[in-house]
Amino acid sequence: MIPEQDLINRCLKGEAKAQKVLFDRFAPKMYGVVARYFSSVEEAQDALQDGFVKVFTKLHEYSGLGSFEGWIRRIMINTSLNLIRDNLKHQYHQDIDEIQEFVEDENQRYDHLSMEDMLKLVQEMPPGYRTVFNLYDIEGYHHHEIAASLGVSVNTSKSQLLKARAYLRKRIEKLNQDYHGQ
Amino acid sequence: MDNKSNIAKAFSEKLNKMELQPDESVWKNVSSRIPQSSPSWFAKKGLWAGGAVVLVAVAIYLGSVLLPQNQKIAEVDSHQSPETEVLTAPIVSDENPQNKITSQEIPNENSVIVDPTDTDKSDSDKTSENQNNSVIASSDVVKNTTPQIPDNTESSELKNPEKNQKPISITENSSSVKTTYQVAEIQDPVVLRDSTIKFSVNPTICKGEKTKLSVDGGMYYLWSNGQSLPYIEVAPLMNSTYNVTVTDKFNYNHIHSYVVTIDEECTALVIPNAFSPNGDGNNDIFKPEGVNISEFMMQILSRDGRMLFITNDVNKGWDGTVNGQPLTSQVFIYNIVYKNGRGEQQIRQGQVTLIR
Repeated sequence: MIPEQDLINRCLKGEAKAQKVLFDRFAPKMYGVVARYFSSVEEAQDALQDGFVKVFTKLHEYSGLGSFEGWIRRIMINTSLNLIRDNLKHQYHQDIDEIQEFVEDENQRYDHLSMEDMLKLVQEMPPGYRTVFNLYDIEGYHHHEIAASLGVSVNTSKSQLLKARAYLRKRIEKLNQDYHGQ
Repeated sequence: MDNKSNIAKAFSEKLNKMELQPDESVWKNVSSRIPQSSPSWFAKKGLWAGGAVVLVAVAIYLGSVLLPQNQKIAEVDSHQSPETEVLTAPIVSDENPQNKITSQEIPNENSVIVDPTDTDKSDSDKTSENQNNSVIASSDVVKNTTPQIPDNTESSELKNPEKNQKPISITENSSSVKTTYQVAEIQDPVVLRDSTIKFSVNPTICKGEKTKLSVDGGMYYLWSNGQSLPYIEVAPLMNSTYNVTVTDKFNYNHIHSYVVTIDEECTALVIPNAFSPNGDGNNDIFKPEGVNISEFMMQILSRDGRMLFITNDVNKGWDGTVNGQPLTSQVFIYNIVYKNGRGEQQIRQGQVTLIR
């Protein structure tokens, strides 16, 4: 295993082999990240592709401080957001008065869901819910960061998150009923 | 932790470490869009341009040479002479002992196909030669101009002799390039008579330019640099020799040496692959550098094909703006056409990254 800094230096020189090694090292993880933001494989792979092109063309901007994987991950997320931002504008143009309080069901358990189930559930969410849920609950962004990167208000981000969770819970409940009903 | 719910915990736990294998096409697409020291993307794009030039060059050359040369070949063949002046497309057909020349059919709508009866006529009837004189005169002009095409693929052809047991040496004396081809020992010329192998001419290039060496008509190819395609692209910095062993369909090997000559008087255009128009005085404009460049034309296109910038002035670079509006960091495509110090037209295509 080539040390990370060595690999980065060789990529900066444009060595095709090193670029492939770097891609192979991070592509599965990063595909795992971007796959959550899109409903189709094609869109997700487009985002992955654009993201890696940015990684390689902006590699000289990586300061060497902080995790390299984290840096790549941020590029992937930003690339994904750029691709879906246009769709989101319409999604979030909903009436803010609609905000309701959602009761958190702390007793519900989700251990029985496999990774594949979860990915499928996330991918099938409406894009507006999906994006905020991914950013807040999975990546751990703050509402003000989400609001800034999506160009919406903090309140919109908060309400979308609550709606997204409620939507997911409903879907899982339905899945469980279907499963037990058989 | 403010309000991280159970559902969030459950999902982030599993999905955060999720790994998925992307399709192989993703890497292919990525690698074609990033700067690499090995110019794999150029090879692909270069082939398009190269292929087009090959077609045009071959078409022009065939058109210029096919008709007049039939006469020469016929004479050569009838005298059993091992030395010929110029050999091109015609191949020897055994079925027609009276008329040994037939034209080779080339699947190219621009190519000239000579009817065997036509050739027969010119072979036997000297008056028809006069009718062809106008064609010869005009085609000679075309021929003299062909060396200006950089990817010089003017093809000369080796024809295996019918009854010649000795290795033959064929001298081509076209334009300024004089080349001698050696053909390997032919063990069974009777079987070999249909085997036709064409070698491109020895190129002379400016320092830093690429050139293509190609062979046509073999089954397998092995170049001295280890490649096994029918052609190689090389960019030597000094005079270099490249050998190729061509195995024909009868499993005989033909060895050929290419000599690539460097013209020290001229150098290739140096095109940067990135620029940063931030006003710091370093690489603020995108400008190719070269000496003795003429008939320069540069286009800058966005990745979706919109024309952003065009100039005919080699001293005028692009500052990364359109109508005065600065563009954001992204990759652009350039098309550059120019004539180098040798007066040869060069086409360069590639990508340049704007970095702010």
